[in-house]
Amino acid sequence: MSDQTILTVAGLKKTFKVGFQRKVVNAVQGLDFSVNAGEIYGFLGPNGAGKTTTIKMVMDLIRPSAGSVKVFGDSPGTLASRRRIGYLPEHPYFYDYLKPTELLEFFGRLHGIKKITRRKRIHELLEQVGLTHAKDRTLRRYSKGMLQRFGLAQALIGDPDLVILDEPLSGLDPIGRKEMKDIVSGLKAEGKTVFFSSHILADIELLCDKIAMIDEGRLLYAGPTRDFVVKGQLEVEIIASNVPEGIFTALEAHADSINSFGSRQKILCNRDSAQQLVKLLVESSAMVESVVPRSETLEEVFVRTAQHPQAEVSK
Amino acid sequence: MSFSINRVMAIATNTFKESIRNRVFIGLMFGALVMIFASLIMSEMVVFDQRKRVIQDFGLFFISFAGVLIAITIGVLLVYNELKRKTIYSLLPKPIHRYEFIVGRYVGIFIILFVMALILSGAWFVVMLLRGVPLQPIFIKAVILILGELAIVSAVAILFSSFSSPVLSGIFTFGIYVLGRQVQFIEELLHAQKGLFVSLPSLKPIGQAVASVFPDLSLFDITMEVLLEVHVGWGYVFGALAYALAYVVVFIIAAAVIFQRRDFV
Ligand SMILES: Nc1ncnc2c1ncn2[C@@H]1O[C@H](COP(=O)(O)OP(=O)(O)O)[C@@H](O)[C@H]1O
Ligand SMILES: [Mg+2]
Repeated sequence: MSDQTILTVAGLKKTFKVGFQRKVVNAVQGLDFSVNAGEIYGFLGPNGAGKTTTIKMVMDLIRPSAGSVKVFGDSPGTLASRRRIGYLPEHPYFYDYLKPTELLEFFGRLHGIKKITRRKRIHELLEQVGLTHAKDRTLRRYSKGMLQRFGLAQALIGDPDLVILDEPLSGLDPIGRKEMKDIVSGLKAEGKTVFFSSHILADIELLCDKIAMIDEGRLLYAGPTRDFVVKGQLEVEIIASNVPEGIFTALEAHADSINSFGSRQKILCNRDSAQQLVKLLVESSAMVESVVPRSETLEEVFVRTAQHPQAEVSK
Repeated sequence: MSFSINRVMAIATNTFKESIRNRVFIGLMFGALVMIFASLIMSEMVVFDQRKRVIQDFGLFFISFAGVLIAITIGVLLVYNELKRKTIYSLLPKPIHRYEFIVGRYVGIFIILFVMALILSGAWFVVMLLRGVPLQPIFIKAVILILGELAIVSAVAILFSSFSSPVLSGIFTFGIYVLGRQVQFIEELLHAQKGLFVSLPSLKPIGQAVASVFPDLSLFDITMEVLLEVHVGWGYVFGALAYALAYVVVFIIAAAVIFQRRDFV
């Protein structure tokens, strides 16, 4: 792993004008973040946040209204940078009259890969994404999940250093998601950098070294995933049974919430109160079954951060 | 600038593979083939010395007519379909220049038109041989000139489709084809002492614009020469092809410039 920056987005904005009245849509409103070599970088935000628009600007499919994108120190869209980037579009769709091997042949030719290498590479890629069994079907007969897998294969045809995936996990069943995540981890192991977007927080939490989180085209957070999650106030969850009625008032003074599940109580509190609560429970001869520190999930952090964005932006 | 003929040919081959499956192409090809063979029957209905003419006229007309319709529909639909089906998002980010995409598409369409001309003129020659008309070089010249015209028409189609909807592009392209066929006539009208531009002088600037900017497509129609057995030299053919090439280059460069600036949202 190196700290070499390979993708930099600075002050990036995109405004669309829609309809007869040229109504202005500010899809991206000033983004700054950078991706270093060897990272898995998550690009997080709810639907409509501006992820696809940003990624398309990185791919030079659309041009920024303001700001800049640098990939491998170059402007996007140059042949030199395109050779090193593999891209999976959102909801990918391909020439459906072709078989996967034919389309990979075509894309391989565009990458200038020699014929012998091409054959071998196509074979390996289809194996890698789990489509070898379907390689003789035309893409018309592919399900959404299969297209997504094929999309990954075509992104990897040029053996890219940077892989940009727009919602790679959408349209996949649970097994497919697991496999896709494993492939992404595998890419990192091969020394590739992966930048991928998702609106599902759990997908990114475990996989990504760093994240950029956006909403309404603005950056809410960019930095290490762990710092982001740890920032959430840690809670402790205590499960206890046979809790005597008499101590409830004392418990409630320290706990954030107490919920009953049959004979069990689930007590949520902050870290500082946990000690006191456990002591109370033990002394009252209640049965303490578990004490689990619970870090806030990204989902909860997201909801909290989206409500108070300024407080969280860190560079 | 690092134009790659390999990449352009890869894109052209892909275009060809796509178009050859196009129903419009297959339908028009088949229709034109039927009409060319039907001219055998039609020729039975006229007096003997007109038979040859009917076959020649039918053949050239349907090769040209099917060709123009194929050039317009495929030219207009290829770029549009690429956007509609979102296949462009996986193609353009590959290491290619945007203008290579346009040139590749154009070459692909031209190959399709070439194949069409080959098949239809083959059928036409067979029909003529069946009618006892000996093959002459002018027949080949006539087909080559039709291809020259189709080269211009498909470049116009690509130019319009680089910024406009397929229906509008189709209408505009067809309009340019129709007016292009009339450029000589319009020029004559402009110099005439009576007629359209005398009774409606406000139309004159439009007429002048059309006459000076639009390609003169009547150059590519030598049906009369074929029918009347007037000699047409290779010099004329190559001159007309050079004229076509000049227009094609201008239209394709314009299409590439427009395409280069586009957002693919
Ligand atoms: N071509 C377009 N014209 C107008 N508005 C657009 C266009 N593309 C995207 N938008 C708007 O920009 C915003 C961001 O969209 P997008 O980048 O697709 O979000 P995401 O990928 O995060 O779901 C949305 O409000 C969307 O409606
Ligand atoms: Mg999106």
